[in-house]
Amino acid sequence: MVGTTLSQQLNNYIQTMHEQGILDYHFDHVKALQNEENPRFVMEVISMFAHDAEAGIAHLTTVLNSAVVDFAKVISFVHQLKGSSSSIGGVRMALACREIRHACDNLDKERCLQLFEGMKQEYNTLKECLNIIFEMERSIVVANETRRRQPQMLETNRHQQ
Amino acid sequence: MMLGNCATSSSLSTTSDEDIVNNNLTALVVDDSPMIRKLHDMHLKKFGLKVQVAENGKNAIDLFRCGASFNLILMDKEMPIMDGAEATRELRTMGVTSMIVGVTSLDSIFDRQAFMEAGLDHCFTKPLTTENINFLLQELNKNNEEN
Repeated sequence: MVGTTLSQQLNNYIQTMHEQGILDYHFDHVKALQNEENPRFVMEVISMFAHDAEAGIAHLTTVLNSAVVDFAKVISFVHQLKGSSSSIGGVRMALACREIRHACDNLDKERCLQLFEGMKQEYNTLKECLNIIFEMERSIVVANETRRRQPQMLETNRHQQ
Repeated sequence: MMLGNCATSSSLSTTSDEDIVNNNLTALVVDDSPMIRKLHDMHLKKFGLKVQVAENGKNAIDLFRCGASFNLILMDKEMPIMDGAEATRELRTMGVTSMIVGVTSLDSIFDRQAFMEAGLDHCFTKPLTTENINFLLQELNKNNEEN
């Protein structure tokens, strides 16, 4: 069946992301929360994460490019990003956020800026991975919805004949 | 990682998720992140709890002032308007005896200890895991049996 094949492809892809260290087991926990009543749960979480991450990175860009860096604000934004990235299984991005926090504790602007570039790269890698998962999840949802409608369509056609 | 009343792996029951029926338990998730609220909401509902959410500590306190009560409160630390530590202190001052569990990304042992001292029963690292929730539900069910 199309849906099953897509699911296997998705599971294989997630496993590859585990092996590459891009996702950890927390993503599996997120996926395990999805059920028939909430078939788009993973897609919704990915969308929310991307929205939060983009906003957080935009805020950090502004603050870190200021003449005088407000390290308390940097810590606050980085803390949020750490929480959301670790919750979705983005372990490398979460670690990068922790490093920025340490640089903030040392009031080291240059180090913060360096690490921020690294964190953005980790985010881009994670985003690419999550986008692929999002599209695969969407395909599965569409395939399942199509499969559910097909018996009804066949029944309708039979009545019309 | 947990601070407070610690459960070691040996003390954790091997009871499966399905064996713990929690239809009468209620929970409040307090977090400024919509994504975290959604994750914790779904996670707790999967265990059969009835869940409400609040965006910050002040909203949580307002719920209690309006007469709401919950068996379990999951409290984030860093929130605008009123953070988790202040909200926890206020709830305890109000006489709230719910199990209040900190869920935070904070790494510093000092920050986490300060959060515990605000009146938490336990403190976990974000994100909450199934093992964490199992432990909390066992504690809640134990408390209910004792009362």
